[in-house]
Amino acid sequence: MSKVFVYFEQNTKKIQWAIFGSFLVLAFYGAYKNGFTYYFQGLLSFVDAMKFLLFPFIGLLGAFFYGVILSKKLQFSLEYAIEGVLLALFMPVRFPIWCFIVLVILYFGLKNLWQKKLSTISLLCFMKVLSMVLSKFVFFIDYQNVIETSYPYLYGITDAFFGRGVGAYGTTSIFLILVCYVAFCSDYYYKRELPVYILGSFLLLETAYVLFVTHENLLLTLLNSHIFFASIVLAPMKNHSPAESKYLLIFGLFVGIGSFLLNAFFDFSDGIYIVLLFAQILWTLALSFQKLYYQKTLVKQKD
Amino acid sequence: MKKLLTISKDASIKVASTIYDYLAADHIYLPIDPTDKLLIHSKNVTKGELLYRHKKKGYYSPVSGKVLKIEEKKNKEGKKQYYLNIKNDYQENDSYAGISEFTTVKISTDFVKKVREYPDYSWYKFRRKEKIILNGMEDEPYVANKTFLHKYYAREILQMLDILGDVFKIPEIVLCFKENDRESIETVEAFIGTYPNMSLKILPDVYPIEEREILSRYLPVNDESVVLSSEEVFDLYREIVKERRKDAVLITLTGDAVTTPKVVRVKIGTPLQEVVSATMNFKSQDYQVIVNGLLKGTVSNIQDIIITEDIRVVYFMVKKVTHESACIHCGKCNEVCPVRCKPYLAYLSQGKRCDEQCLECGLCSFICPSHIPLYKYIGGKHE
Ligand code: SF4
Ligand code: SF4
Repeated sequence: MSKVFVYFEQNTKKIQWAIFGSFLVLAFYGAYKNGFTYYFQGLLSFVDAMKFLLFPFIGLLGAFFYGVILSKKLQFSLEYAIEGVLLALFMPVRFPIWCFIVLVILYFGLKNLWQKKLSTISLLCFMKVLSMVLSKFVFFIDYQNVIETSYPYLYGITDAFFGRGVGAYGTTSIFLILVCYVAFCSDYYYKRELPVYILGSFLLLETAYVLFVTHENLLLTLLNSHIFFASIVLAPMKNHSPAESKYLLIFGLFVGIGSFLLNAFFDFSDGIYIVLLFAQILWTLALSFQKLYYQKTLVKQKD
Repeated sequence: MKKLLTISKDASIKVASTIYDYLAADHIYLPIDPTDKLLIHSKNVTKGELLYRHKKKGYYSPVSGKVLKIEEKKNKEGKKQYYLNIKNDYQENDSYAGISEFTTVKISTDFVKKVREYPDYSWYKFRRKEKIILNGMEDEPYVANKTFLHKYYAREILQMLDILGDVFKIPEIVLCFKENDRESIETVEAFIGTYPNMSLKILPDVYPIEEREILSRYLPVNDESVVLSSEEVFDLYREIVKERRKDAVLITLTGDAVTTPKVVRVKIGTPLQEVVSATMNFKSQDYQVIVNGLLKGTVSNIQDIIITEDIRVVYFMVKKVTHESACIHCGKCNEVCPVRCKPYLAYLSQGKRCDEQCLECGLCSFICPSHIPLYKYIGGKHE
């Protein structure tokens, strides 16, 4: 066959800026929701409110240190910056800053090696699961911020949709996450159908479960920001999900159903990260078998 | 129906508005096999004279001049090839009388006989057909040969199609053009009114619509239809109606390294280097020469290219370094494949896979964000 001399080109820089910009909006919203609103209400000091900005700042600092200084590159790679902010976004608000610094160092330190050896498993997802384990079993914290732990609160549907509810630092606003989805869709290579599969299966099962079993407030239960964030931001990231449409559908359904099971029966509202990591491991194994199988059929074809 | 892709084009690469002629090559080189028997009586040949037959195809001299010798040179693929060298005497002595003006042809019994018995053409493809489809489209980006052919010879092309319809009793003729080729559409519209048996079909600018499998998604292309390209029809017109042998071809010389891309009429057998020196200016000298397509072409050395009938376009593209990186499992290669082959799986197997259906259109490699040369892993019947 002849060669190809042109390639499909999209403005990657523009797309990366759009993604970075939307993550920054999520990060600022996180600082506003968890810090500044309480500062305006007189519940937090200005310094305490400002502390919330430390999360994205540390993420960006780590990205700068590894992406520019250690790799001796003159230009700041947006890919690093995006990942730095992303790490901050899914941290529980009360997660100790020192430990977050360690995670950032660990993430960027491992990044290159991980990409070489385990490119089909998301290191970001692994870091999130690690932070979940640390939060639950070492620091004994949940996703509530300091004020939410001390004051009784009752969030409504609009609160949950626009992000006033409980959740990780920058992932509470489903509205903003959906805006991110629109930004991501400008990337030709973004697997836009994957969030639909995950969310579709999760929301459907959760609806049935609430309607027939628990009889809770349906909309409030459905507005689970972890599911929206993980399915829109994390799951479709390049490298980390199957390429073929039928396997992508299976992958999406697996994550959606798995997240529902963990949420409904084990009270893991953020169980999607665990399921996602597990799905990626399974897919990686399946991929190796698939490669072997195709290599064998190729030998047969030659025969 | 699977969604097809439009290949985006660089708007700055615009072809000049007229055809340029380069018909004065000093030497003409025609590919020959040393075992082919020369059919000439003297070393001095006239234009259009039959020189030899190779695999039943007749080779005619595109110029008048002197046959020198058989030489070994490299061809565009870089392989050794023998060429018959003819020195041009610039007299253009023609072995055919030729008819210079546009003539309306009367379909007499003699004429029908003449068409049916015309050598070097497989007429059997017209037998028992219901429809002639004219492919007036260009798949490869920046190629304008057909647009220019329509611009200058639409009347002749339509007349020849009408003749073919009459001779072979084919009732319907469909003329296909791409929606963005407004020039061709407007030119043809000016003449089509006189032919009630002809209709116009405007098709989207998708790739690779010229392939029969893809074309058949837009109009019935089946055993009852015969697809002809505009060039093929015009060549028939010239040979049968005008009684002139094909001595020149239109080729597009284009790319981001040239100042003004051009469509050039050039004698068959002319070394490309000569044509380029006489007609082209370059913005950049750091270019690579690509023959016959950016998605399914071959890179070649300019000194090795002799203009033959199968060369339609030569690109002069500024050299770009593209790095192949690891597959990101985006699945786009599978998604864009117009015939649903699985280049992704072929890549996973890391060996060459032959898929009967593969059109070798190059779309999968074109779309790959990791610039993986998927053509190394999958190929069609031609492999
Ligand atoms: S080259 Fe073959 S496999 Fe690749 S897109 Fe074209 S038809 Fe499909
Ligand atoms: S297009 Fe390239 S990167 Fe995407 S799946 Fe195919 S081979 Fe992999």
